[in-house]
Amino acid sequence: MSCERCVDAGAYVLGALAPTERSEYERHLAQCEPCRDEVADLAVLPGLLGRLDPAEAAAVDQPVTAPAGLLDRVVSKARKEQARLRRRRRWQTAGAALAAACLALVVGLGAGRLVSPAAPPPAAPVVASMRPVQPDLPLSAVLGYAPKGGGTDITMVCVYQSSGGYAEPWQVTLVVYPRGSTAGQNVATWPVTPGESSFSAHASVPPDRIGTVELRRADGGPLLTYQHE
Amino acid sequence: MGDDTELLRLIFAEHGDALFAHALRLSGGDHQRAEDVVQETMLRAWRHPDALDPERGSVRAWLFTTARNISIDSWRRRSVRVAEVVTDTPPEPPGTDETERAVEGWLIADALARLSREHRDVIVQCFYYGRSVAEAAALLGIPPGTVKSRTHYALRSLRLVLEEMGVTR
Repeated sequence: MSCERCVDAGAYVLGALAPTERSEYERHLAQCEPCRDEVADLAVLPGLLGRLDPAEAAAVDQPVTAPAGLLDRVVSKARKEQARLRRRRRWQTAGAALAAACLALVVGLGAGRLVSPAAPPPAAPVVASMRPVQPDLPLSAVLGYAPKGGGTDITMVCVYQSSGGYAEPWQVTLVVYPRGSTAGQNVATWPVTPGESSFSAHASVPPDRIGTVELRRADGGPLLTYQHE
Repeated sequence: MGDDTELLRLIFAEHGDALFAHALRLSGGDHQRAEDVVQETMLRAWRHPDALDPERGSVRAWLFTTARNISIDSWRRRSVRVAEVVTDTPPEPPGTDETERAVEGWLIADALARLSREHRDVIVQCFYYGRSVAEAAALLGIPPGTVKSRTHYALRSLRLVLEEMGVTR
């Protein structure tokens, strides 16, 4: 500030100078470039300040304390989220374990066939995860199957995640659709209880004729599906 | 349980009041909405603790910016919902102008909050209450010359704060 009257620029742009002082300062502005620059520099501020109403501006000085209990609410939400994440992580780990368990069962079946010397070499067992049909399903399963006596031995390892509201056992039905057919064969019905469980069943359709395998609720729609490619 | 909720306690102890005050301004004084904003802001901080690394900038600035984004998002969602209620015609896309206008008031409040008490006082008196230099001087118990210079330096700091906040250049 190269003019001592530049300090008046603030009160001037806010309109706080008394009328006589204001007109006097305006006459000075006509002569003084530093003061004009100063006013120009601050001129944007009244418009911006005007976006806020006086009550809100005065409220800035009222001390604000975050409500009691807010932290507890945040922490409890975070904990719930943490627990949910852990369940999901356990869930993903469970998927890998399931595949291993299922493979062991299916290979077990295949090995059984080798005992008979007349049998042709077994086809490679198929092990695959079943895809959920609906979102947020508390049930996941890995399916394995291998040929047996003109049909197919099917093994399934399921994990039924028990969390609030889902703890009732489910009756599930395994349905096999032969390739190109919409008529499914109900192969077996099992109760699925919370936790891990495995089941075996025999379908009359040979493995290479299987199109889709579906796990349905006995009293409702499909839950999980597997499509043979 | 392995308690990374400790981070939430630390954030709250250090920034809780300021964040809540900021959220109140964002939500036009609505306490419930302000609480929701604080809650979501803190949960985001907790989910992405690396974003809070002081090396990467001020923690408070991160919290304030996050709160602001959350607030704008929910403001937009609300404005769309309102449009759906009052009319059968498809809702207008959320008006950016409206949002900007709503946003600027609290930006200014935030900027004022960063000034010293003395600076804020003269701005509130001379601008918001429309008092003359003489009236403000009597009210604040300081000489008129001090009101003038204080007003001037208050506006210069405000200008700087607004620049830092990216409101002006």
